[in-house]
Amino acid sequence: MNPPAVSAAHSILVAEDNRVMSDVMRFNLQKAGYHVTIARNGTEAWELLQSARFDVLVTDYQMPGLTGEEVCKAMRTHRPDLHLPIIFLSARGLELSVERMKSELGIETLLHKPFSPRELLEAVAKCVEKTTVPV
Amino acid sequence: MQLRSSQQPLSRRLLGHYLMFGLASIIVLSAGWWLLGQSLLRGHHEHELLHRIDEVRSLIVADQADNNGVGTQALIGLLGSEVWVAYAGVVDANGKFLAHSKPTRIGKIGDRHCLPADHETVIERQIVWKDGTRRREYWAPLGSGKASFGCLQIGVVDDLESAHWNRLTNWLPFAILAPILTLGIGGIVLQSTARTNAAIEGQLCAVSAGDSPSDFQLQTLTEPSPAARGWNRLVERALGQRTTSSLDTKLSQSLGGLLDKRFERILSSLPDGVAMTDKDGHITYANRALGVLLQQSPETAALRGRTIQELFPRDVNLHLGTGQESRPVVFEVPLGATLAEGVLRVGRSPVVGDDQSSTLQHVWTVRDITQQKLADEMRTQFVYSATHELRTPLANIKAYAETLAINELTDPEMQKSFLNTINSEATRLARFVEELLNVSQMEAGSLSLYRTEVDLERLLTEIGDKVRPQMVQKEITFDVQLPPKLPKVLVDKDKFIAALVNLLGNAAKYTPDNGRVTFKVTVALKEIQISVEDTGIGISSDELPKLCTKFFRSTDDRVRVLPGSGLGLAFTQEVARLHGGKLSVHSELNKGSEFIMTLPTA
Repeated sequence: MNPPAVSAAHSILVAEDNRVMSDVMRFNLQKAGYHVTIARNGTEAWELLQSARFDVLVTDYQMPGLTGEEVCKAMRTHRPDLHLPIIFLSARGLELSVERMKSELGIETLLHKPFSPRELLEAVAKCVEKTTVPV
Repeated sequence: MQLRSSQQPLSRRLLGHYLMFGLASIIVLSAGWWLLGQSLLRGHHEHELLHRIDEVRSLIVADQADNNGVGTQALIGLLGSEVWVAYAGVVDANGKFLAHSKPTRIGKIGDRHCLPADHETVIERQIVWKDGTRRREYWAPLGSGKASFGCLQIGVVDDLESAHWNRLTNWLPFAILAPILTLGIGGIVLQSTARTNAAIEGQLCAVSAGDSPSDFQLQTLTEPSPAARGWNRLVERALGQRTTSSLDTKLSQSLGGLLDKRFERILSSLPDGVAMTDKDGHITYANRALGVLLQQSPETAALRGRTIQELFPRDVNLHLGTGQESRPVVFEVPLGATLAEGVLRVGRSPVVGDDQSSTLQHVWTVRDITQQKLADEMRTQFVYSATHELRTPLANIKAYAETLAINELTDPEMQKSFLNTINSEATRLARFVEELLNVSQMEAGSLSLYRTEVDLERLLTEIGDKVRPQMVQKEITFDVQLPPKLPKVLVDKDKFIAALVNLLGNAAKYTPDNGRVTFKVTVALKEIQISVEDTGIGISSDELPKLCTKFFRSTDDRVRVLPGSGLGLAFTQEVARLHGGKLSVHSELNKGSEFIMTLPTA
């Protein structure tokens, strides 16, 4: 199966502390034609968000420094202008309510680990579509 | 009635009654006697008087005739001494007294109002004396006709009563004293007769006045009477029974005390706080543990009279709903914002009092469930952590495998690298599962040792070889210091190796490149110390106590970026403990740590 087609050079920020995981995500996203930036922790992600422009944020829930949730909150409070679609990754169980996170943090979707790379690519493609269509 | 009789002893009452009735009867008898005497006296008076006059007259006449009047004066004297006679005399024809009851008048001329010649029969004459008293005088002729020689003159006491009274006054002291004396003697006799009964009655009154059936003092009597002997027997029997019953009471009292003490001991040895409150919520009993749990004085007496709410810290509200007093309730009371500050489970059950009345008492139990709560929290944390730790390598494996599957990778190097990653993640997963298994065995207490005598030097060298590649990779100086002679030890070889590899692996993991790890063994008298010292990131003093807790991982970012389950040290510590040894840690943040496993030698 082919990965969904995308228009060139959308910029994705991946915040993931697990190097092995971030490597494979970078591989898949780059292969799909995205421009990928990796942040090793929440703090780094927050700094990158303020300094550069991204189309989609893919963030792990549990990270050293700021957690994924904290990054989202910081963004909503300090940079509401970004309107950045967010994809959440979590190794946690059902105790994280997708609905709550959607309404409170404004996330687009939540991927439970282990997830397939295809699910990630589909979720990213959906987000990219959303941001590009109105323009 | 009962009260009045109990006021005076029986003997005094009897005496009173006796004297009262005795005096009354004396008075009645005296009066009767007096009246009877009076009526008899009056009836017989006239008749007897005349008869007596005739008698005396004939005696005097006879005396005159026979003895020439020698005995006349004696006769008159005799007559004059009679009660009814005021005076008596014999007057001759010339009115001269031949004889008189007052002998001084003999030979003197008397009253000439009546002369013997004048009459033949007895003449009665009324005379009023100068002092106003009245007399009757009888004139009786002595002899008849020519033989007449005079006249008998008798003055009669007209008011016989006063005459009698005058006579009686002589006897008055005796008349008064005799009945009183008789009554007195009678009283003494009566009192001595009634003494026994009085004593018995006195004791019976005391018994009836006593508060409780057993609250009286019975005394035996010393009188020799049969009544006293009978009473004494009764008293002895009653006293005997009382001794038995009081023995029962004492026995049950002391047994009750013993039981009370036993319950008290049981209650005071409980780890749970127990208290009892009355209907107003005031504590009537509290055991030691209650005071200790609520950080009050363990002196239970100090808690009495206070309320349960008072014993809790000011900011803790028990939220005891009103109107719910008759239902048992159990609630958890956190003593602070965090679990570690303490959580108490407080139970309150209603108890109906002994008197079956509706006044409600409560029994309170207070249990410290802090440890239980912490354990619950830890278990939850364990599940979270375990899930996370399982999912991370699994997610990686899945991601890489699928990436390999969906992409046509032409580069064999990349394929190999992907497969290597999958392999290492699978290994990590397997190791974690292994650790989890160990920990679960540890948890269940079934982590058993298979101890064999091992050559420690060889074993330690083997361990060193196992971890050396890690050290080499980070260019860490790995310094192994073994003493020339090592004692034989009995250890579970596999677990011992795993534990030490854990310690050395941690040292390598958390020591920056070009650091130093020292693996040193020292032999003491009865133990060996295996020390792993590094120049790593160290552990903050806050986290040091939690270090060997399962799933504990430092919040230090330098730790967080490295994979780890947080089970290794918990496992190592347990292995040391099972071998009869211990694991101790010295560490300074940013300088390094030293883990020392101490094992006893055989």
